[in-house]
Amino acid sequence: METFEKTFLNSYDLYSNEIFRFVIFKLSDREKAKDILQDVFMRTWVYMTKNGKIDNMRAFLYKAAGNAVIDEYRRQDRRDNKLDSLETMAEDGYDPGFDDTDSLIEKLDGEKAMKLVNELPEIYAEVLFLRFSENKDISEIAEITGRPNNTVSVQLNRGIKQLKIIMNKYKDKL
Amino acid sequence: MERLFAKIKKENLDAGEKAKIFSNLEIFVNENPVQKIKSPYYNPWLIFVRHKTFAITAVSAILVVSLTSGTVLAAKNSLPGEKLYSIKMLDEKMQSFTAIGAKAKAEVHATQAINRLQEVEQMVVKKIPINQETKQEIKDNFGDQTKEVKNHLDELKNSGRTEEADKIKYDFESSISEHKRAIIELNDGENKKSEDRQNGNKGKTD
Repeated sequence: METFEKTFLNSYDLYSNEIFRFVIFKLSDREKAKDILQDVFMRTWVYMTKNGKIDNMRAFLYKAAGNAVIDEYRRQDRRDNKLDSLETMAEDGYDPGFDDTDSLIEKLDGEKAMKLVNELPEIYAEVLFLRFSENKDISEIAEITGRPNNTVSVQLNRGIKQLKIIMNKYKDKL
Repeated sequence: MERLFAKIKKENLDAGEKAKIFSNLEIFVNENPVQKIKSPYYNPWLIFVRHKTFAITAVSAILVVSLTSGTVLAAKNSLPGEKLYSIKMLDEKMQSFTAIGAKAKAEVHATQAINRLQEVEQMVVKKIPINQETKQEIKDNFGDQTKEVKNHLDELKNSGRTEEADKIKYDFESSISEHKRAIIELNDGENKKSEDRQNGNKGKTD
């Protein structure tokens, strides 16, 4: 196999899980996230065949995934009707009986943890996800989101504050 | 908070899901291979398209060379007082500078000295008036060239190449004698002046 193709398939091996998490975090739909992940990598390959090697593959994949998610939002005419919010989960009878935020976290699986974070405005949810779930530093988040470093820092601090409020809110509600 | 995100981090593709997408991608890659780009060397003209800097440099070089050689060629037939004459002088200087060895230098300077005489003759034929300043310039240049010829011939003789030096000297003198008309023309101004001066004095005494 040619080196060029090898590089591409190695990139899939390296980054597929983090890009998958990024997509599923935004869509809360595992099956859809898998489709989008495959689509992102196919589009990336088409780009590479026309334009050659990509210098920063990870950043490129995040950007492509971000665009694919936006397309999906448009198709679903969403972000207003968030799929399964924690409130809906509560209405559906999900009652773990938390008495503090620690036990709230304890009772959440990955998908529900994502939904909790997604209660935040999207710009905050995204930077928190990249910072704490993917361990990216400020400059990497800035590169992926296309925002200045300072903006990312501010959004990170505000996001943390708001997430704490949300966690306390659901601690009492659920 | 870290614990919350640690939970999110556990959301991964399972091995089966990852392998399935990998296999789909492999098929996709094979069905959509990299477009083979022909080397630019297959078509020499493509190099101009692909490497703009190279193209600009090459075109500029061609322009400079063609414009320069064209101008120098045009200047070769120019006469004193004309716009291109300074280029002709510059070209002659370059020729004498690039000539290697006493023999070559003597021949170049001899040719250039004769050029001055030919120019005067052409100006006379074309009835182009030669003012005193131009005459003086031509005479100075002719004198300089002749001096250079003499110096290089001496150099040749000193190095034991007397025969070669004598031949160049003979050819040079023969050429000068063929252009007597030009020499007369160059000296005419001075002769006329002295004649005028003499006639003026005569008139006064009369």
